[in-house]
Amino acid sequence: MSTTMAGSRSNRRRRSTWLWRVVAVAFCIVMVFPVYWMINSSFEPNSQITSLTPSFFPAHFTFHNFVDAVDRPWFWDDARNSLVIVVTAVLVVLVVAFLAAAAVARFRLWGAKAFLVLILVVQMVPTAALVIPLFLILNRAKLTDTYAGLVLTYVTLTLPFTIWMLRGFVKAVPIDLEEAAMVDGASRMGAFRRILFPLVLPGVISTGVFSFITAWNDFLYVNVIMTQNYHQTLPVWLFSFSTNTGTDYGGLMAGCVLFSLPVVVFFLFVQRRIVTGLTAGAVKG
Amino acid sequence: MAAPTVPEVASGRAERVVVPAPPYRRRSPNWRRALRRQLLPFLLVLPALVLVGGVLGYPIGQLVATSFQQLGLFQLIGHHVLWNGLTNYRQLFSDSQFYSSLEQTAVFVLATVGLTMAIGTGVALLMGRVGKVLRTVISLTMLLVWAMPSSAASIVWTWLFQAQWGVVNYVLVALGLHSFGSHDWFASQISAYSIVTAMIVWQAIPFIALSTYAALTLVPNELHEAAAVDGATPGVIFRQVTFPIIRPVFFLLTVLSIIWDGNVFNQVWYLTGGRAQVLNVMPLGVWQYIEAFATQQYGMGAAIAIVTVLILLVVTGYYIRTMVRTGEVSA
Amino acid sequence: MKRRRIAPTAIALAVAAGVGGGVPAVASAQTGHTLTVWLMTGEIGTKTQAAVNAAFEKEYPGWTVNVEIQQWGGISTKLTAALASSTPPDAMEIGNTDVAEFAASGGLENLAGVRGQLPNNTNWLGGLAGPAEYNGGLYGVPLLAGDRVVIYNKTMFSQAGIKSAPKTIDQLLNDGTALKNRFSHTKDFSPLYFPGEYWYAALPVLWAYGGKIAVHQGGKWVGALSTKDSLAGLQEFQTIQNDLSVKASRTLNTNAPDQDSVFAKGQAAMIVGGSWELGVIESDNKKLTGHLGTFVFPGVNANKPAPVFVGGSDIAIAANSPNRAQALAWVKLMTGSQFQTDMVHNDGLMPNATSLLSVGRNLPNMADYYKAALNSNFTPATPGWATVENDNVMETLFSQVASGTRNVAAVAKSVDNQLNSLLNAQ
Repeated sequence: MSTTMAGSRSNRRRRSTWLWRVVAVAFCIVMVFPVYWMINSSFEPNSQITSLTPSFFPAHFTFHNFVDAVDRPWFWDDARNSLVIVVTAVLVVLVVAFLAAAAVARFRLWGAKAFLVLILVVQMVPTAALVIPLFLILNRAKLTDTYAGLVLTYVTLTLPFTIWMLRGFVKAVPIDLEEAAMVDGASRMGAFRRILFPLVLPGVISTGVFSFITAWNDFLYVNVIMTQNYHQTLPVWLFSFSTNTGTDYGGLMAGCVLFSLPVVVFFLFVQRRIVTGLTAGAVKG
Repeated sequence: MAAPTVPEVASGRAERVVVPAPPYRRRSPNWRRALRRQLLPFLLVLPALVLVGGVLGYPIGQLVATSFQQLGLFQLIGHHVLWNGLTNYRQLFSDSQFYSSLEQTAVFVLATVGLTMAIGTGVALLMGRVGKVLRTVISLTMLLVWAMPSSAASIVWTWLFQAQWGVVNYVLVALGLHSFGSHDWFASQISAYSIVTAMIVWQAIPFIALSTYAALTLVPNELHEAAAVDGATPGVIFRQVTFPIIRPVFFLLTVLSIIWDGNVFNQVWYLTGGRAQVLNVMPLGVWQYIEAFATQQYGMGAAIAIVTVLILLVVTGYYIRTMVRTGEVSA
Repeated sequence: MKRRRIAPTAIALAVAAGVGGGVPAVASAQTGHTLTVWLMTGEIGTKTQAAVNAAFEKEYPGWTVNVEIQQWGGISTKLTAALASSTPPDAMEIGNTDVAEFAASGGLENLAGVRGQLPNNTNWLGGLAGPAEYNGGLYGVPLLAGDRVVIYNKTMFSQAGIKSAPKTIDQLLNDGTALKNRFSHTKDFSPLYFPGEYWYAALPVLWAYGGKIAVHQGGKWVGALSTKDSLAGLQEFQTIQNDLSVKASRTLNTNAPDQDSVFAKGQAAMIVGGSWELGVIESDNKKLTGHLGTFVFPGVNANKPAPVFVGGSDIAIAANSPNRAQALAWVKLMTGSQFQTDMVHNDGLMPNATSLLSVGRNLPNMADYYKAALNSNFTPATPGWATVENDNVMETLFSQVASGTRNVAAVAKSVDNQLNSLLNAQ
């Protein structure tokens, strides 16, 4: 709310507040429409989904697509693999990246600049160009078709980005809070853990959500790295709706809705913390 | 390294205090102490270094090497190495497609990054202005968009803009714009690019908005209050109080967006239904894919990838330099 | 400020280590021997697989067969990576339009020496065997096939006074006019719904006039769309498409809108479709059950229907596989008469050889599909063809001809130029 602005002309302020509300609602409607369309299609039979006149509500409402989707082979295997692999990768990447980000942001580390530039260059390489060589090196290390291989892949691919993001958040936090804690006898690491980490938590979370979604959505790498069906993840399962005889769009859309759910749940779970982070900041002041 | 950013926040004012980095000598006479001081941060960076170097070192080295080789499917599968020096690069720079792709990428990146950053930051500011309920609605919307799998997004977007039965044309006709009856949005280069841009901006806004919002929460409220009490207008407050604090994140998001959009491939490929070549919707990422995978000239594809990285490095160089510099206080 | 609990670093690392350590080991950990076979999704079902595997395991005691189902998306990259590694699958299904490029790659075992031992090798379907042959070698065995014929609505035909299925393209056009007049009140009605990008259905028209996509001349592939015969075929395709299909369909594919639902809704009296589409149509509209008929796409003359495009797959053996002998044994079983017949009955797929096509005569609705396969044609058997498909060259060709934005000869010429470079790429 604009309570932070101690303006005197409250009428104008109220009017502008209303304007912002309208803008916010209109914006949300436009943004969410494609998502709505996916959900709408997931409740329609295939014959309705791509008909010559669009239907804005499921005209022939059905759960059939969802039942079909869950019944497909390897759904439960893939869902379990997706969760285990992606959650592990995100936890590892956040820890490793937070340590590295704190190091480069808070110390005079020799070579830190070179390190930062280097990992950003890594981020610039198109990922598709790396699939085959990455597979071959994992294969040599006997890590293809293993959880560890895929976790490593996701950690590495999201690491450069995560380090940079967290470094930005760390740098935005005044160092004097940590210094005060250290004067009070905390160690350097203790200050990171108890003072810095809670303060950058909103940033850690938004970065974590990004890493989560990146890894959760990956098809390119998992398809090549995991060769056995029961080792694969949900994006591979999503591709099974397309066969040589056409695509089952209803099933695919239902599959996509199911596929998005964990991301939404994960976010709702952490989102409170973003808001808490905000209020904490406000209360502190 | 971080000390110089502090005074701005601590003073609670926006008078742009430029604090020069404290002069210090790297070569301290006491080597042992210096080494010990390097040990902790080095240990902290080590896992990241090992991971990136260990996992991506070989593939990236391989990519560089490949760009100096003639590598087709036969060589790739049989591990035959056929060096051809600078041939790929020479061929690349003499191909008119390179210059066309480069130009397209430049315009495209400018449009997408500009729109994404402007709208994303706007949404973040909006989230700070509306009440708790609307803020939750906005972040939920952002999340739903973000969580939508890109395969579903690509399919739905092609449906929406389908010429004969797409919702967009349907709505336009219903609004009285009959010329859109069966308007083909993917008939021309410009039109196809506009849809691709719209979709990419749509997909990117959530991340930019939520990250910027997270950065905004780091701005202590009392700074705003103090500035407002002093009679500063919202514009001034944003420029002088808010923005300097979120600038590291803002710069970084800009650089990352340039990198991602500069390598754009998936969305273009899906939305144009593989007709990217016919429409000449060929940013560097698409050209790279066509050379490497569709025509299986992995060497040429690698050369395009390397050149793209170099171009991205040059384009983002200024920002990267600013970002890695100690201060970041004075831009 | 409140202290928040933070997941200690140690926990996360422990989780990572746990996952790293507790990973199910690669298949080699099993005590017996394992033969790994990759099959594509939505084709040969588990029942047929189990039967073949059981026969194989009887022949090779101590061996187990591990069938892994692959998705079409990204399959080319996956095969490339696997073939370049030290642990490729022992045998793998490859789509018949992709097999040529892998045949030339050196990653597949050359089976020319054992060709004589392979079941039905003298009468494999040309569209499957052709692309697997490269420089005198044989790099794949025909596995399964599928083709397309015209599916029509019998009720609509009789309502329009059409007594029998058309035997020539001219009759098809005449019947189309009759249908169009009879159902003129139906919105967006097409006598024959024919999306412009539907090149599997458009090629037969080109071939009916003796046209060709490209010809092999003096060791090089030359685009042949600008020849007199090809131009006549393309022109006729334009006429059929423009006269019989709704204008909106000129630049569409069969998926969006789904041609089966267009047909099921009564907005079309005919479509060109595969045998699996009969079931789709009947489930979209139960009332059509029993009212669907088929006929082979007609040719110029009554006694000569248009050659049909045969799709399908081959099965290949990895050159790097240590189990090539066992893989060959599995392939022989799978492609032999017994299990091909099983596949026909279990999975509704078409067998790999003309000698087996007689089984189709007794299958409901399948007779015309099998009849059509006797007169089939295929795309240029060269590694470059995969690029033509990747770049959607055929889709572009036919949709441009259908939409008429440029004249047919100009389109043909520009696609010929494209083919000349793509088909000869090394």
